[in-house]
Amino acid sequence: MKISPEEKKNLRATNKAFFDVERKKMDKILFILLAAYFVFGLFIALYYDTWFMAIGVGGLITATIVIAWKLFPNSTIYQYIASGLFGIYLGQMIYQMHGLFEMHFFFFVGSAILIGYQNWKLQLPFVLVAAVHHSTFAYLQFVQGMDKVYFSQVNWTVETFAFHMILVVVVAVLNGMWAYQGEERTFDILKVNSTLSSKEKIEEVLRIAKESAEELLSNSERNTEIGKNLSDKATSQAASLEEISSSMEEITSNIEASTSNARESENIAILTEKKMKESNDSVESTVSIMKTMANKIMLIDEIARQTNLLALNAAVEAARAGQQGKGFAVVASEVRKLAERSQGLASEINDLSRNSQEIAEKLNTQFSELVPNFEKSLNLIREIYNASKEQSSGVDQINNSISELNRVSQENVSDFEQIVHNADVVQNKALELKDVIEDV
Amino acid sequence: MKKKIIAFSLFFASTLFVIGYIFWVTEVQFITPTEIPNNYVKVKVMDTINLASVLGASNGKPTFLHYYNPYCPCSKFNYNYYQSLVEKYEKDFNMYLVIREMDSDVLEDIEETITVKTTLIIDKGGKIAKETGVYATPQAVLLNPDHTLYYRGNYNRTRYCTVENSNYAEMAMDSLLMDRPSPDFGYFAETAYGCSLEKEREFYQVLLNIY
Repeated sequence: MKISPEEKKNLRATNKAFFDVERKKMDKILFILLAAYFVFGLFIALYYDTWFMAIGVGGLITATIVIAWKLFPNSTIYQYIASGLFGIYLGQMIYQMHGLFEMHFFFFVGSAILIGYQNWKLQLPFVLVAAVHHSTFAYLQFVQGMDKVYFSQVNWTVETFAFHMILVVVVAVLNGMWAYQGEERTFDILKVNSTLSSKEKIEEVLRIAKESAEELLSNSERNTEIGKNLSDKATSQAASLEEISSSMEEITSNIEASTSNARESENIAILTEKKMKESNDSVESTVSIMKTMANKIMLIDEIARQTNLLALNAAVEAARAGQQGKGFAVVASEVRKLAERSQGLASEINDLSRNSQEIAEKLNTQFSELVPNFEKSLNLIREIYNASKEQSSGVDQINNSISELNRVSQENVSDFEQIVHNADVVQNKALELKDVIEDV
Repeated sequence: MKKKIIAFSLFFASTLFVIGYIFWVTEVQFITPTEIPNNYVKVKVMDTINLASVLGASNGKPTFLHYYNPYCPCSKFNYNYYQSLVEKYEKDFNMYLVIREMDSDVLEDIEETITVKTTLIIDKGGKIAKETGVYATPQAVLLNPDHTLYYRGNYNRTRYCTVENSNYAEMAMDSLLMDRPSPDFGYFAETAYGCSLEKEREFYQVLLNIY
């Protein structure tokens, strides 16, 4: 089948994806082969100690290939460069094997690999390098009169050069022809494919369309179901969030009341503490007064005892005085009675005073113990108040988050409803498409 | 795209130049005849070589002089072949290793390289080379016990000594031991290749600190 260049151009354009995939495959193969050459060069260097050549030339070739590949990924530049560098690798291998010219066989490997691109022109850089290589040595050997170049192994003659060059040309031409034929065959297939009958094409299109519509229908039904589920869940979620929000409002109110009560308790406690301290001071003053009173009563008791003693002495003196002293004895007896009564009363007062003092001291001790405990209670009340305030702040934040969550949830409900609606639309369209295809 | 192509072209040209340089310094320069010095005086076979003061008494044995330049990759490669000759002929010949100049680098190289018993001669000023008509390395010189020149030339027609029927130096040694006249191997045996005796290290050898 004869295909014109214009047709080829069109086929290439319409089948661009196919050609791109094939080219990328070949680019990779070519790169792997060149990388393998580099590794092979290092391997040879292990035996022949030709590291400078293996790393120097092999490294430069590999670097050039990588750069060309990365810089021109969709161009044929990389392929032409690689083709030329195959030739240079050939020289490297011959040198590394100490002039073993059988390494020329590497030429066939490189040339054959290039057939895969189905572009006969790619053989040209390779042939060009081979031509430069042989021409240079032929020039040195025969034209410059340096027919004594110290080649290894064989006596080089004009025929040898000619034979090698002819071999290169024959192989390159054959491989180029194969590449060309491969290209022609590819275009033949593409053209045949493009000229299938319209009925066959339509049937094929309808078959694919029907399969697609059925698949679309199945998927859209599934999507509708999933969408509905999601919508229900989102609605349920939104309701739950509202309940949570309401509960949180109650909690907030309770916490605020607790905070207020704690504040009031604190104020009362502070006032009470102040009063307690004052009472404690009063009790202490009372104890002190009681002690003073006890001392004074003891003095009265002493005075009464002295008076009694004096009355006794007076009675004795009155008895000595006889009749004249009778009246005085009566007075002395009365005085003595008064003194004894005073002493008895003073003793009673003293007892009462001691009892009062003991009670006051006990009261003082109890107050002293009560005040620090009350201060502790006050501190606890303060902590409760502070904790309530923090709790209130935290709850405010939670409330804000719940409000945001609530808003998003409402939006989700709306979105899911839209998704369900869209899925319904797609499902209907898929049904329509299937019906239309079946009618056709 | 245009800039990319220009930049890559420059890089590619530089790469080709460097690759060409590597081929030249490692191979091509050694496979063409070494340039003959202007003041070179050819010494013919059977001419008397006056080296008794340097070499001492011959003890009735012929003398073998191997010219070695550690800066020359070609000479370095050939050295293993020389060692094989020493092992084979040390009983029949006085074997000498001739070096143009000695410095610490050369000494280090020789200590690493030499594994056979051979006498080292420093040919300062190139007197021995001039006397024997040698201007390149690797080269071999064979002297009769009476200090007349028997053979001066290459070891092989290839630098890698890969063609057995052109092991000229070895063939000449066998010929001398059999009291045959000096053989005439022709152009490939007589015309020197490799490096000159004074050859310094190449740029890349200095750069990479290698011989």
